[in-house]
Amino acid sequence: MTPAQWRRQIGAMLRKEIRSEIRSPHGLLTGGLFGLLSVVAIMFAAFNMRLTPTLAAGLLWVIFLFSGVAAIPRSFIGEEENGTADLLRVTANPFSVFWGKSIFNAALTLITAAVLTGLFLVVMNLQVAYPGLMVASVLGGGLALSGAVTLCGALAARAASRQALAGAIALPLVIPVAVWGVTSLRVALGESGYEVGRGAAVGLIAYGVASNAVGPYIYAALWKR
Amino acid sequence: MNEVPTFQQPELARILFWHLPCPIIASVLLGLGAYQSWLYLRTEDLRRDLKAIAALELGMLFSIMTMASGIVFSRAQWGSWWQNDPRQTSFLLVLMIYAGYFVLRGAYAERVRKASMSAGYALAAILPAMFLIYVFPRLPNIEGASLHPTQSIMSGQIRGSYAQVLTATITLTSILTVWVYRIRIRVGELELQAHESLGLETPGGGAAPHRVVRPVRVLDAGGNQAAKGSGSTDTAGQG
Repeated sequence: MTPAQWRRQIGAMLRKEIRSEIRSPHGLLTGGLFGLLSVVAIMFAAFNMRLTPTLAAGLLWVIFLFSGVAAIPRSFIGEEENGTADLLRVTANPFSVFWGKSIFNAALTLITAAVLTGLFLVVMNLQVAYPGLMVASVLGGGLALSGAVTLCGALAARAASRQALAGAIALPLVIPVAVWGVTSLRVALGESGYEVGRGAAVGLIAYGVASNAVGPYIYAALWKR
Repeated sequence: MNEVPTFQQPELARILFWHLPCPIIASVLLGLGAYQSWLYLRTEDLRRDLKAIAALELGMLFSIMTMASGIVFSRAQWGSWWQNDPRQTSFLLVLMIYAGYFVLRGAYAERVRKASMSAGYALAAILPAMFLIYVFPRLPNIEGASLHPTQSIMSGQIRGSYAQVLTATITLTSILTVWVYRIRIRVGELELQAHESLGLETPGGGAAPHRVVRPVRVLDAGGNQAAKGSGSTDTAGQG
């Protein structure tokens, strides 16, 4: 395929996902509500506390992980439930399908993460020392989550109890990402060690790129089985 | 001369003879499982899937033994079963990753789909697993915070008779692992053969879908087939 054909196919997949989401905003609502409830739960638990940067970064990553795992697998599971997956298998290229869905999921995760981060910072009265590092951390986290969890959604899409299964198999793969995520976020929130934080953000982005590069190959090997 | 200077009580270092070979063999088996899964996806040969399961089952077993021996040592050396040490937690996560593999495998009943999806997961899991085993413990902020030594062998801190016994246990445990691995593959091949040629249910073959009737061979006291080719069927489960 030529680069123009790649762009057209991935673009078509992305447009399809956006239209589906506009028609029925299931992913945004599920991820958003899950994340919002997590923030409220933390507000309840820590109503009289001043969070340290490390604790705040850890809690924020727990919110990202659970809202991402609740929303992202929908993109493949929905195709199976609506009976449109076979149509995709006949007409589309697996790489375009995976990348189209992964880009959409990355955008969905970033929107959710941006809103939840803003809310969390306001309600917990936290200051951001390095806004650039915070953006890099959230961006890398969204990329890493979308690649790994999209693949897990595809793996679980035809199983029984698929939504819960996708979450259960995706979390162990993305928790290691949280190590870098928490390290970069806590520096962004004011803890010392800028170089370590920057290195962690780079690691996060690298993991995101790697999971989005390897994911389609695995998906292509099993999407018609 | 103290042959194991990093240990507060040298006699406790004997746990190394068991604790150290386990994660080494576990990580080799996890890599082997991913490699066999990759070969399965390329060739669609179910025997490759058998080799992947054998490797990952044994890898999981050695990971559990790593955790168990580490917990016992933690109690003896530091006074509590669980130290919340980053190294302990990261290895627990490796166990969770491979638990995910078996959960995914159990969620599919159909053999080819079960093999394909779990092979995909084994390949996706190898990067985070290797990160947790080899990279994470050596990150500067983790290495400083962990009680667990990371360079005892490489920096020559295990010497004399301890080093000799450790080399012997690693070698013997590796030989034992190869033996058990081959037996597990043989068992898997027999299950596959039974499934393919006789159409019988086997532990590895997954459950038959609800209300599906499978033929069952019924033998009399002399071992002869009692109802050859007849409608002798297991009707249990028919509603």
